[in-house]
Amino acid sequence: MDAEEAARQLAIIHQVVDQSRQERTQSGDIYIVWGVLVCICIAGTLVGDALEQPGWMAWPLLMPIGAVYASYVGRKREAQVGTYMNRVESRLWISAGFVLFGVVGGGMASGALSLNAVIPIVSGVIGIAMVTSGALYKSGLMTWPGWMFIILAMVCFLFPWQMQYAAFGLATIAGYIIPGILMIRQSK
Amino acid sequence: MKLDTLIHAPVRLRIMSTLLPVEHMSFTALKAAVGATDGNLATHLAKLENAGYVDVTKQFVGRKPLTSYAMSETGRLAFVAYLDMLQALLPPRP
Repeated sequence: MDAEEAARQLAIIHQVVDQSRQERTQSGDIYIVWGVLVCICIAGTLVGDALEQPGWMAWPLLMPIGAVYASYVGRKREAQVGTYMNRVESRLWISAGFVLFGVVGGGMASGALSLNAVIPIVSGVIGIAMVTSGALYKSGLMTWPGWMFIILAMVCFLFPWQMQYAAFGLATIAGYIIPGILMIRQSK
Repeated sequence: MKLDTLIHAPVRLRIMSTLLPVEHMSFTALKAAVGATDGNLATHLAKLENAGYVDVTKQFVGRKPLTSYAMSETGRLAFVAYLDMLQALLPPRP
């Protein structure tokens, strides 16, 4: 083997290693399922508020469905390819989920958290998780929506909670459902 | 210095390069990454497994059997030695 062939072999190895490092199971469907569930919950809350009915009940009913779906599908896919980055991403979302269920759910149930603070916290936590996931995989489909959620979290305080929910619903369509569809299309 | 012929074969080189940065990979995912047929991949994986370069785990996910492969410590050391040999063949940088 001469130097030229050795250089060619090394270039191929680098390329394959880089591809493998970026190996990521497609998770567009998880984003879509979460996005749709969140939109239903928001619609339920707003309609319930207008009709003076407990529309907020959609949250404790539908969010566990999203969590069960995401963990079932995530585990199945992690069995296919186990990378350090996949593990970091999955732990990031699990911990974010615990914060949302624990802090927001617990805060609301105990009355310690005002309705005006819910969307800023939720949007902020989701934004951090999305920006970090996007940075891990160098994916603009997660990074940019993540920043949108963070900005939304910062400006939400200026508006009444109904507007916050409506804005979060639109952000969910733009930041979850549409990127989810694009992720699935990209993987085909 | 002699290159490790077990790693040097094109398909096995792709298998080793693919497994290097991951913790484990299923047969199906490895097949897609390497671009080999079932039989070809199985043959090359068996050679790497016999040499102790890859570890094989068989488990059930739900009701389906799943075979996963990971680079062993022996494989990692052999691959690093192979890379060192390739580097040594390159002309020294000015």
